[in-house]
Amino acid sequence: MADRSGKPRRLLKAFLLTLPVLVLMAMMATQGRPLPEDPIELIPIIVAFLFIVGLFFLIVYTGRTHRYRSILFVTYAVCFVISFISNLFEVRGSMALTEEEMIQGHTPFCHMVIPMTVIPAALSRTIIFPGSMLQGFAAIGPMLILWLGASITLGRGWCSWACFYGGLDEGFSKIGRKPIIKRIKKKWTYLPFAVLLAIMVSSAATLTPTYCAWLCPFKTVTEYAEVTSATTLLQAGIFLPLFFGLVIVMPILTKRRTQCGLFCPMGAFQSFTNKVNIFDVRVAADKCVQCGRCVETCPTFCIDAESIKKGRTRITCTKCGGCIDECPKDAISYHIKGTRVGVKPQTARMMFVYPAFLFLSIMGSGMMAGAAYRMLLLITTGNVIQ
Amino acid sequence: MSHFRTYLAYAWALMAGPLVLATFMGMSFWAEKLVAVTGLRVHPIYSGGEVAQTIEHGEYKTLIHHPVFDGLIGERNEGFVQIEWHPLGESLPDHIEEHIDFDQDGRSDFRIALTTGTNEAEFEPSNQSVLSLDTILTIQSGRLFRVSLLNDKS
Repeated sequence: MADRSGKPRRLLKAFLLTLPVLVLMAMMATQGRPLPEDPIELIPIIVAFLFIVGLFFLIVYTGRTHRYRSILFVTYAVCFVISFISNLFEVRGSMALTEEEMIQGHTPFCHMVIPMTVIPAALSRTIIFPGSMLQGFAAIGPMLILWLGASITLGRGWCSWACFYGGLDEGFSKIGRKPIIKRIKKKWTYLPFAVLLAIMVSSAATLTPTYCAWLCPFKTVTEYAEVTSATTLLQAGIFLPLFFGLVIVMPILTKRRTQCGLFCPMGAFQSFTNKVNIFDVRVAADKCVQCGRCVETCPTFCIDAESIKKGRTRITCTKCGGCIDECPKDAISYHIKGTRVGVKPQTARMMFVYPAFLFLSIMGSGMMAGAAYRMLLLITTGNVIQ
Repeated sequence: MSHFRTYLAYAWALMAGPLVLATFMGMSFWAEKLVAVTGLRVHPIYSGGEVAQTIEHGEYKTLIHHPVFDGLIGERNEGFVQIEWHPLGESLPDHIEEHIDFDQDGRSDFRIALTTGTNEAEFEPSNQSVLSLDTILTIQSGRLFRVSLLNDKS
């Protein structure tokens, strides 16, 4: 989809289109405060800023969305893990979450809990989670606002532009040149919906966020209930293999995001927001040559022959742009619902990429700066925590 | 009509950018509004429920929460009452012994004695709906415990 006009003109156009992101990211990086004087704090902020703005420039200049989004998305996930774990060790001295902290509402709320809170919230206006509504780090209220904002603006684009876990299996799926497991039966792509139904019902019945307690693989790289009983030991015995299987091994073998596409109930839940979101991805039937490259490329199993016939991706599309980048005939494009398919695809692309990239970069900039700060701290003091 | 729809679609799509900024810049504001408008709160099985009584004892104070029997719909057969001891000075006394009347009927429902250094507790129920002492946890410089109860109303 590259713009074929002259190079200087393309550069100027890309620079001008990058300017809004540059200004907004500069504002976000400083947050109205003077920049820190200590180089260990200043350098990470500048590095994160340049990295983000540079990637946006490349998205605009090259016309490729997925390639550069993916770099930022994977970096964001890795940096999230580094800064989150370092922070835990600094504050708590361990990744284990004690009963004392849970009972005092100190558990950070993450978006994975949202589907499990729906039924109890609807019936009793309560959130079944040992966190705090407004106080402290990752309180429930702000996280709900974040999720609502993302759902309105991106739909399931959340999973490729905002989720701080998705970049982990995306990163592992980039290892290796060719997939060892090439075909995954379509029926497996419905598994996340089955998991979603099971956890929503079981959470409502037990008033416990069952996915967090029993299944969430990402506890391996964030925090987990302190192992003090046979139950917590069994829970650890479940989430650890799930992490290694779904987030590391399967993505390497399939070159797909298997946790996101074949298991994650939050992803399944988020799919429904695609119905109300203004952006989608469409296939122009008159241009499509049925080469199947999009089907092979899609990291989350969201496009198949059946959906191509209908001229669209499946409801689970995460709007990563992989199929758009890959299509040799420019038959696939971002699209604004209510407009004609294939008309001004670059306009539709930019109108989606701006909010999506802003979301990812605002979420990610602090984590990237935080992780770079920890790395500098490690180099200069030999310790990642203060 | 189709032109109008197209303009509307572009206008809605254009709003996405400002919406993202509004989400991040006004996150605390919107979160407070969301909680106020919906009345959402943390389920009492996690928060311990609202505090019903606060009793000061000189060196420390006792917070007695409302008993929690909340289920998904209606009340459950079993629940708990959460009690907290917070020091009024730097730390709790070495030994605390207290009769708790959580239902406020003027009679003790259980007696609890705690050696704060070791968290060893003696527990003696005097009400048929009091089942057992479940948890004793150290919170900051205070202590928190939950006593399981049978629901009289069920």
